[in-house]
Amino acid sequence: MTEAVRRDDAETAEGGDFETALTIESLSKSFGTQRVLRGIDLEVGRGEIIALLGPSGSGKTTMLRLLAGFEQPDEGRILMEGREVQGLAPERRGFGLVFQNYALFPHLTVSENIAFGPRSSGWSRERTATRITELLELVDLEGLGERRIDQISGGQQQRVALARALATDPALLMLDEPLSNLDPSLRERTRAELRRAIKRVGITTVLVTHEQEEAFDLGDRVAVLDQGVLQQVASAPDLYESPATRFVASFIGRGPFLDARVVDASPSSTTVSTDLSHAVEVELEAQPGVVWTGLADRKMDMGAAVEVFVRPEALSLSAEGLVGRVQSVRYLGAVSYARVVLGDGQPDGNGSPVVEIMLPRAPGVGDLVTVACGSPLPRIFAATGS
Amino acid sequence: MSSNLTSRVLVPVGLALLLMWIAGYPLLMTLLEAFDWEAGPTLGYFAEFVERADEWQALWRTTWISVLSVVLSALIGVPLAFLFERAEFPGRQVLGALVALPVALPPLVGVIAFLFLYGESGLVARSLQGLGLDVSWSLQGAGAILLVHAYSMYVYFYLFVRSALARFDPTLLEASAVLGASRSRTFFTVILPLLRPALAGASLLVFMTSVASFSAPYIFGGGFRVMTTQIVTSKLNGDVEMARVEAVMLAILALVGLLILRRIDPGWRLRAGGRGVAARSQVRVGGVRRALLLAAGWLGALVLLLPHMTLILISLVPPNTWTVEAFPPILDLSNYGRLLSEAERLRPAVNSLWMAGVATLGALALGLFAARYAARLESPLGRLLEGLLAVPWAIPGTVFAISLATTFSVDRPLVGRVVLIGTPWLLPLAYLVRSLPITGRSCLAALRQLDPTLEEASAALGAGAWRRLTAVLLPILKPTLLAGAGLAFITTLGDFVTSIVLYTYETRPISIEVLSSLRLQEIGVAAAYGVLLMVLSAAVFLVWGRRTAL
Repeated sequence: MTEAVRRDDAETAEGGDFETALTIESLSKSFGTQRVLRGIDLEVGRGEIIALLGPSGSGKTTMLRLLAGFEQPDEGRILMEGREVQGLAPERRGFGLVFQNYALFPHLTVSENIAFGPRSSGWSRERTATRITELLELVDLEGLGERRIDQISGGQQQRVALARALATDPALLMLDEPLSNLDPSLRERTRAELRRAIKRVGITTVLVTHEQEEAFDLGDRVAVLDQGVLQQVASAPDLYESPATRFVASFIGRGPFLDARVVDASPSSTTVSTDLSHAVEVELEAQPGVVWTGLADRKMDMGAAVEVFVRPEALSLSAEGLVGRVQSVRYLGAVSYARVVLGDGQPDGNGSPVVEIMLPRAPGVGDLVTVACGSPLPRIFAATGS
Repeated sequence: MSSNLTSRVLVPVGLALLLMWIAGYPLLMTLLEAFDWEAGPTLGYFAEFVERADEWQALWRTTWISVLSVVLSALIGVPLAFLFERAEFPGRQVLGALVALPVALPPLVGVIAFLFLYGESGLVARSLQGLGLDVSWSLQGAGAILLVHAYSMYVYFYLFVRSALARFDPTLLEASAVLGASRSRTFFTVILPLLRPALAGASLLVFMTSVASFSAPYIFGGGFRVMTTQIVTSKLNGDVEMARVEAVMLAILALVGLLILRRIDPGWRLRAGGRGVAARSQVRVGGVRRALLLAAGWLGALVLLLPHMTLILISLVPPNTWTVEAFPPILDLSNYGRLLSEAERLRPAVNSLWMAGVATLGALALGLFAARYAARLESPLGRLLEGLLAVPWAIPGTVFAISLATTFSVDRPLVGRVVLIGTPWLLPLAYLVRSLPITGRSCLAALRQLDPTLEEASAALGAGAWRRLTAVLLPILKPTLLAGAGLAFITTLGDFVTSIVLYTYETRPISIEVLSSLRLQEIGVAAAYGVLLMVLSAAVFLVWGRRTAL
């Protein structure tokens, strides 16, 4: 990793409506020689929903297990409301956890599952019964309390798992891939219900997912993890429009990296975010002479080799710009995506850079086109190869 | 952290030491004393064993009887499994369950039922004579032993193969057919290889059971001695040294068999078919073939259940009322009346019940805890616990009985030896050790299948170790625990092989009473005891069978 890892969570949390509830400090964990988490710092505001997003093997589940207490960190601290919890056994943390497979007790009814936490904490029967009624109402399962777990649907099981995790009013709610066990058709609706229920309770929440759409829909902020390193913590629009690292740029949404060279590095006021304050003019290697303006998070030297990351919606067909030939078109109804091989238009695009352009109307396959770049401005990264 | 040390090291080490003391240490003592270790190691006893032709003969007989038992059991059990799993005919389900019953029948009960049915003055002989046929035979020697073995052990093949066939993905057969294989080619290249784990498992069980078999050779062997009867004879004749050497040799034979047969097992298991798999393929036939199948199914079941029915019949025959008639002239419940009303006759039943009860509870608790640590610790300690749970299964009961008698006949507490022989505690201890594989390994299998997130979920919900055990693990494992306990209980209740070496007059169990009733020619009472054991066993087995969902 040559790129700087940006940690803008503190500002966002303070700048937002949330006071810090959960603090994670330089958390590291290895299994054998494999380093799964490397110095994670994260602050989560009270009542905030943080989505940990990353590909499989990125360490997001390990992070959840460290928070829950099933694993012990090698280094670092976890503070909940200022109190260190990393030495505590899971049952002493008072956190709620919704498992990926729900882990509902098959020998207990819906109500008995929800009552498990309160009874473990020594609540009276009356208090527990009142709580069960509240929670069944919260997750919209009134009247199903006496059902056995195998007598309710997968979506209902998911809601029972949520109710069970919330029963003792935990300080922190954790959800491990909460919707992955559901049919795709059910997910979208369940997602909205889930967020509504969590927000009604107002609980601080950390959820783990590998699906971008889920993270964007559920999270107030999204924390992107890759290879055990926290890449960026930001709101969904910031992640998309101002990716902090190459990984975030390519993992969130799509777009190509084009080789280029800096031709004008004078600071400009054209910024979309405080973190990308350096406007840079670059000349694309693919077609010298074509100059684009992009944004970088640091000052770039004249003549430095860089990579330009550009979103499909920033590109359009125009009278002048990059010349290329349309290789294929994906028609999606309202819009189409055209793959354009840059260069002299040889039909074989082998080795030539390819860009994808989002267009209201699709050009014909094989057409020679000219591509211009508009907004959002491309993101400029220092070249990795050099 | 200290509680971590306790739960990860101290408790499992303590458990391992306890298991070693009761399951491993006696075997070691027997081995050492067979070499007369303390007086200066000697091979003298082994030399004597080697020189005696009858010893070699017994060892060789045990070997070939066991191998033939495997073959014969397979010849009965495998076709029955195909018949009941793959063909559809009226009564299939009821008969299919009944055919599996002998597995739960205590060996001694099976043996006397056979005696009453096929013996020289058994029901079959009498019936034939009643028809005016002048026949006589003797049910003795190797043939009789093999017959009883095949009759009682085919069930292993039947159950294993049937359950494998039930999981068999029928699309495999369709694929084979589509690829142009004939039916016989499909059988030899698809079905048989896929049944290999089942056949290997059943072969192993039959071989081990047969090596350890005592009741059949004891009752039917006559002069035909196998290792188990040889050991008990040496012990009863007071030749304890030779009994130990014989026990060591038998244990070696069992372990060699175990090692060889485990190599047949390919290591993989058939899993239930994946998504979209069609229901199991059953052959629906009509007309004559259907009638033949029906007849074969009912006839097979009848033949296999005849000994049970005979036992019930004999138990209803009052003493001295059945002399020359083909069929008993009077049937009543007087044998059961005597059994319940005479204190001396009731005593063995009470003994067996309390000893089996205590042993089962002990084996259940010990087995559960050892299995919990074995499942949780991925360390040599965990594997040691798992191995210790299996030891009493791999070693024949006679060997264990001799070992316990050897170890607990000396008062040297510092080396872990106390005098238990002659006290009422040695037999329950023996029962407990012999039950450990049943309770422990069923718990282990269930714990390994248990979703680990259930325990994590309860921890996350604030449940401590005790509440996790009592509110989550025990309720979920309850069917397994009950099944294991039930099986251990009936096995112990009908135990003969350990009892005959270790019983005292005060602790004499049902099996010993059955034997002495037989000797006193009180066959009605013996049969009544047998029926008692059979009914208890059948009840437990039917519950257990439903749990394991054949």
